Amino acid sequence: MENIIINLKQFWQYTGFANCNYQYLIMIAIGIVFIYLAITREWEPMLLVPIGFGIIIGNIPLFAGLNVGVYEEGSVLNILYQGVQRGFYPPLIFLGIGAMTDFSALISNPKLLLIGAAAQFGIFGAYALALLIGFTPSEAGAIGIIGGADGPTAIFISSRLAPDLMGAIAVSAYSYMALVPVIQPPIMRLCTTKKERLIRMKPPRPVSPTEKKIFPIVGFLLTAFIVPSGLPLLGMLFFGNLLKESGVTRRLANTASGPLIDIVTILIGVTVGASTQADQFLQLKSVKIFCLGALSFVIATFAGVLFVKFFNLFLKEGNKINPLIGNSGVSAVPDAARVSNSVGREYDDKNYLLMHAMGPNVAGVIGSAVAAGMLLGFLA
Amino acid sequence: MKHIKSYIVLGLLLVSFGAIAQNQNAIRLNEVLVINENDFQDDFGQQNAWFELFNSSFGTVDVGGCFLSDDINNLQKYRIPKGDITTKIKPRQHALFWADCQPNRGTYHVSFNLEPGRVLYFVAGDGRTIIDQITIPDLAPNQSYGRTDDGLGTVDGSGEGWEVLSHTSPSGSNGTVDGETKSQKMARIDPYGWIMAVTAMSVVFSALIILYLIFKQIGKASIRRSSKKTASSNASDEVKAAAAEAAKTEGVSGEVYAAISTAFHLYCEENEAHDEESFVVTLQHTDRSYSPWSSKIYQLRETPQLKRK
Repeated sequence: MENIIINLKQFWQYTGFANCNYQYLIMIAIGIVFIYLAITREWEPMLLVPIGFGIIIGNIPLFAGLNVGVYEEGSVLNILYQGVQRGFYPPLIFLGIGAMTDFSALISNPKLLLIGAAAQFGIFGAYALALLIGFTPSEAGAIGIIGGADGPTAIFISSRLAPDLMGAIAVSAYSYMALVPVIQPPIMRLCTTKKERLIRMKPPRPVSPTEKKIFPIVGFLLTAFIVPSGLPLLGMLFFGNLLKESGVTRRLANTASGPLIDIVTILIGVTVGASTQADQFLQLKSVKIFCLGALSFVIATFAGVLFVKFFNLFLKEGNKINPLIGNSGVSAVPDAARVSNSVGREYDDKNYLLMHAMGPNVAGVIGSAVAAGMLLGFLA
Repeated sequence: MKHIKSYIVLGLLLVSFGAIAQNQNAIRLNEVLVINENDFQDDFGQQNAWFELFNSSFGTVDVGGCFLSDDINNLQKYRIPKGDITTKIKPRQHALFWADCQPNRGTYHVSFNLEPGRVLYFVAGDGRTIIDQITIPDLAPNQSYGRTDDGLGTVDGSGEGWEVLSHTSPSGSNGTVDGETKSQKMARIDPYGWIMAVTAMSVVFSALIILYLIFKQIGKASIRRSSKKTASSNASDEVKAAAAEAAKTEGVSGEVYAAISTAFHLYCEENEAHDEESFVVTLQHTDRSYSPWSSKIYQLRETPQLKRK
């Protein structure tokens, strides 16, 4: 009988209940909130459900040596986490993004590319702020990339510049991407007049298949030659797009934009979530990262909208751009473009800005990949 | 068919040989010390002349099978043994060789000594191609001669990029022992991040402006090409008239067409111009044997078709 009691006591020591502390419970609660927001509000459910559940998985209290934790070398979760740590999930996601992105809006009106460039101010604004509050340049670069509103890029850069902060940066980037419909509209209204919000843009011209085929090749050659350090992201993005537009690799494009990106999204979501173990995640640094992440989105939105207003000064009447699509320069495809459209329709129900906003939106993906390459080149 | 396979294998071998040779090309003689009185000791506790190789590439390079020599007439004086895993020099790392004329002491002990005025050669695995060489100058005891920055400088023995170093650094970096990382450098020269912001934003803008200019031109060319095609097509008068009519209506949004279509549909419905539909949809099961092997949608590509104008 005594042995049974000893065994039970020993077993109790192995359980999560015995090893639990309030930090794990806070993280589990955060995971549940993520899942709740994804299911009830439908905020980026494809990302928040895996990340939320990953947070729960990563915060089950364990005793050391069980070899199941995400940071325990050789454990299953650790092996899956290698894709994040070594940075091979993000380029695969970019392959899928390329294969599902239609660059027509951008090709038909290439000046929208410049809005995608302007919105990258968010990255470098947050970089400067992070330096100001005491982060090292490498950490500041990893934090700044949150402003690119591009989860895979944020993971890729943070895995190279500040691996210790990757969990907080990834969760912050994805959370704010989900919160784009909340963060951006007030800034868009603040920066624009009613007259500007009512601007109707010319319908985009039809784009020939040849132009669509040329775009990924020229786009890749140009951006990769300028920023070779962005090669993994830019290469896979444009390669995916070529698979789509070539017309002869439909099966490969379907796989890249369907099953492959789904698999990698599941893996990246769960492992990033699991990497937020309470002892690693619940620190003052994480709070600072969340604040800087929010600011980077705010700066990026301001920069995008204000840039369009500035750009309009040089455009003839009839060719002017509605500044409400300026927010789409932050990547967050296609949520930022949807926000442009919905805010635009609040003021003119017949003014559909979605396709126009997709131009800067996809330009933002290219811009953030180039900016990421710059950060790697200077800081890695 | 047999010959084709042989050629492919031969081609692959040549390519792989080329790749190996290219890797070995990244190896540099990096530092030499001739008179070792109280500098670094070898595993036998002895102080002898030494020299250092540096892998200037970002991939691991195996120097096993390469040669080291101090004699132009005998470039194969010392062959670095193959099969020793320690001869794989990791990216941007060093390997230290002892010039003690005692090759029986191990892989890193060569069969010659270093003498001022002689030339030290690093030779590729073919025994003929000199990858790097350096003329050894007169040096004081415990003084080393090396590249100012690891791997940088000439490989023709002229000594450009080499200097007498202020301190020896066997198996270590010559110029950056106390150097700073890129991040530390940025923290020093750009504490507020403005230089980074301006530089990076300039590059982002430049890249996208160039892309904009290129695609503006491509777009113009595309429009010109399609207009040309339309103009040169041998269309009938009726088609031309229709095209002119269509051109007139250019700029009318899709919503207008949708509204016209809906109105027309409703008008026809009100006037009972349509047939009465049963509104019953049934799915009839057809027993058709299916195999993905024969499905067209699973084919890698469509069957090529010859298009005649």
